[in-house]
Amino acid sequence: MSDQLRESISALMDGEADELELRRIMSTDNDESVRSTWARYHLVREVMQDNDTGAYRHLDISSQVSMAIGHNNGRLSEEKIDQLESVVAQKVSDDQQKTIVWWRPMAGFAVAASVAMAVIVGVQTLETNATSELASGFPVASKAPMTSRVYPVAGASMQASGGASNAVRYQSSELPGDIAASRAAADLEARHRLERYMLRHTERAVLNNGQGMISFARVASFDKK
Amino acid sequence: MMSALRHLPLSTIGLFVFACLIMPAGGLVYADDSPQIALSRMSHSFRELDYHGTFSFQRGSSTESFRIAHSVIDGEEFERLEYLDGEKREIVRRGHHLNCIHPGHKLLRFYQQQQAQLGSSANAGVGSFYEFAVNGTGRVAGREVVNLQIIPKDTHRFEHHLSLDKETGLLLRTELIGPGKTVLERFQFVEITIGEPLAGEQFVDAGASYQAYHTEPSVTANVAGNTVGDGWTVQWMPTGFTSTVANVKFVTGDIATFTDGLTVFSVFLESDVDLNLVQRGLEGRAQKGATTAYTRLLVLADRPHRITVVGEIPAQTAQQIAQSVRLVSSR
Repeated sequence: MSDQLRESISALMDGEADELELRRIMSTDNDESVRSTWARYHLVREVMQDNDTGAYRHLDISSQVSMAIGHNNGRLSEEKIDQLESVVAQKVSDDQQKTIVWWRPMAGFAVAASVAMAVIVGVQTLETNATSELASGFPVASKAPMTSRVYPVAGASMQASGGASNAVRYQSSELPGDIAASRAAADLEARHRLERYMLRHTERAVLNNGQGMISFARVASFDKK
Repeated sequence: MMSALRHLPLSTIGLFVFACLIMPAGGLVYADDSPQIALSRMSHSFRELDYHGTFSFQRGSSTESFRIAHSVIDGEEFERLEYLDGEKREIVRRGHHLNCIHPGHKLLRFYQQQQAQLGSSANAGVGSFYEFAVNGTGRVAGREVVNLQIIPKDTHRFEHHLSLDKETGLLLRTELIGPGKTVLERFQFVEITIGEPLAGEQFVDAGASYQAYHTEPSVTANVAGNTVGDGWTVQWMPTGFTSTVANVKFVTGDIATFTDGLTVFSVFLESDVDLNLVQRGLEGRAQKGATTAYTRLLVLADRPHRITVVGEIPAQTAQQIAQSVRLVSSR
């Protein structure tokens, strides 16, 4: 594997890969080594950060997605989508018990199964408490906790599967280059929304859980007023 | 009445309530040191006693410290919680009347549990959804405690380990236990002074305060009786949870909160969802200590809605609850 490819993988991990790098990774002949490098880099990052965020590391759904795509000339049958979703959902729920990390999006899992072309991207940069810099020599540029996440690449359609009867499709017109920016904005928005919700929930919980004011300790930050 | 009562030792109040309720009920008696009585005392003591002290809150690998003060002044609660680590901030709550009893408190209190035992149609109280065990005694924050183990009968709640002050019933230490006996979070008093009231001036905003919002436990007019307009309901939730707002057929705001007396979760509904943001996530989950937040999009009435469930419940339960949200139209 070339150094260039390794750098591209590292960039992808940090959410900084551009379209060219994305293509480089996706068009590589040696699929297996890309995958193992990907997994290894994450392992390195976790060990260095000494955190417990690797619960989804082994969850590689790429082969199932590509298999499904291959069998259907790029179009997925509804049945296949359901099947994939349930496989993924099962794996995710098996793992949920172990995790203790704040804000772990799993948007991608529902999305992945229904996109015509997908790439697995493991980036999530919320809540980074890191202060020290990493030692050089490792292909790791960010200390953010990692989570597995799947993003649609180009011309992807998404399926919102909210109960069997009311599924609907949204068309994405976004170019890959825009993804990182709008994803960061959306993640920030999501985090703020959750903090607001957390506060409102806790305001009601302290009145109804028999423990009172101490429960406010669960709310890490809030707007003064 | 309340201000006179509050100077009595709590056990006296407990016995008084006990006596009042036991007579007409027909002789169903818990031993005085039973977990049910202990829980009932807990639900009174944290609201009715004067206390101040510091406690630590631990979840995952992080620990934070807090200073808490609670006084009852003229029958009203005055409370302040200071965050001792990081940015200076505090939460102040004043003037919560002791007679203002929320559904969650009722579920913990003795008479409710007793009604349940008698087969009343009222919500059965925590006794129906958890197993209780007294797990010896110990010492927390220099005081003698009774340890209670509260184990849920289903998988939709967490196990609670409580240490209650022997003398007053005040909660001094609590752990929430997840699957595999993992401690999800832990509150523990480091030191506490009980029975020394602080003056009202102690509860004035210090400039970095958040004034906690208080929801009335029962809603007057215009909600339950209002037949114009739309709302939403949560069609599935674990048994034993009741709305913290009484007498409402469906939710008209963007939040609904449910409690079983020990466990609380809230459901939020947003109807105007920005489709550009929608594309970034149809489903998401967050976990911090015992608190789960689960978000997903549902198409309701042909429009995307974002449903978020926040609570101290397992992720899968939150997911099930979120998926059961439906709009209702009364027109």
